[in-house]
Amino acid sequence: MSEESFKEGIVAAIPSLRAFARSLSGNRDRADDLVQETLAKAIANRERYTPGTNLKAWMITILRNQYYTEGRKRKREVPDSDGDHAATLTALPQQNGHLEMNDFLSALQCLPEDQREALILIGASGFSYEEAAEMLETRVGTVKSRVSRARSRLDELMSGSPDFKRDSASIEASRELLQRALGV
Amino acid sequence: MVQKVKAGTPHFAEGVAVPSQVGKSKEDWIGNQFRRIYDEALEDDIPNDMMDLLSQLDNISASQDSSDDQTDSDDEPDKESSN
Repeated sequence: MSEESFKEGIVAAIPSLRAFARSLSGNRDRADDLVQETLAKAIANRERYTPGTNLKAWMITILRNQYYTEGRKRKREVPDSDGDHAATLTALPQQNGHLEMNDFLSALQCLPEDQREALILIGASGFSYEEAAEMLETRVGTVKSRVSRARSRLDELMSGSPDFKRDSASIEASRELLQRALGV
Repeated sequence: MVQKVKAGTPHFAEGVAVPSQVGKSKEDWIGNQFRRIYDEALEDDIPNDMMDLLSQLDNISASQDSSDDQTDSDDEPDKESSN
């Protein structure tokens, strides 16, 4: 594979990579950092890419590894508990039931990581269950059940799960958190 | 204002999303949200940082075209040697 077509393939994959990273991390700035690092790794390791195989899948696998490697470091630095994400959700369906994209990104962060990434690969990145299973190094049935649990959990969250407080203090706190997370 | 609420019908406070409304197109709303995220990413210009990084590949192909001497087949080439 020539360097030109490798580059073209990468450029074509960038919107998918950014969308994937935004959905996975819930944060646009961090997402672009992840994409940047992914591009650097893809270039450095281009000999390992097998021409003819799915370049987008190869790059998303790199991005995902990068995300989890960083995530493990970050968790020790900034404890961002599920409780914080849940708090962001209290502000969610307030605006005429209209769901804003930032709210959705925030809701995704309430899902367990394995469910979130399965849902994104299937629902957003357009991979088949078989492809996703290969990328996640698991079985097709596992991917299916993760996606299905993710969908029910999102439905549940969006319909105002009683788990979440709706007092004004937590709504205010969640707005701040959301704005900080999204770098608005 | 007095509102009649049938027994057994869930009643939701104003401003709180009603499940029947949100869950109308269960499968679809999630897909729609993802489509919006993708469309937005598609419309966003690719940051210069990313294109700069990719221009490394132009240099690699240019040097491969001009000189056919020994091939650097290291898996991870030095960053310094890329320019």
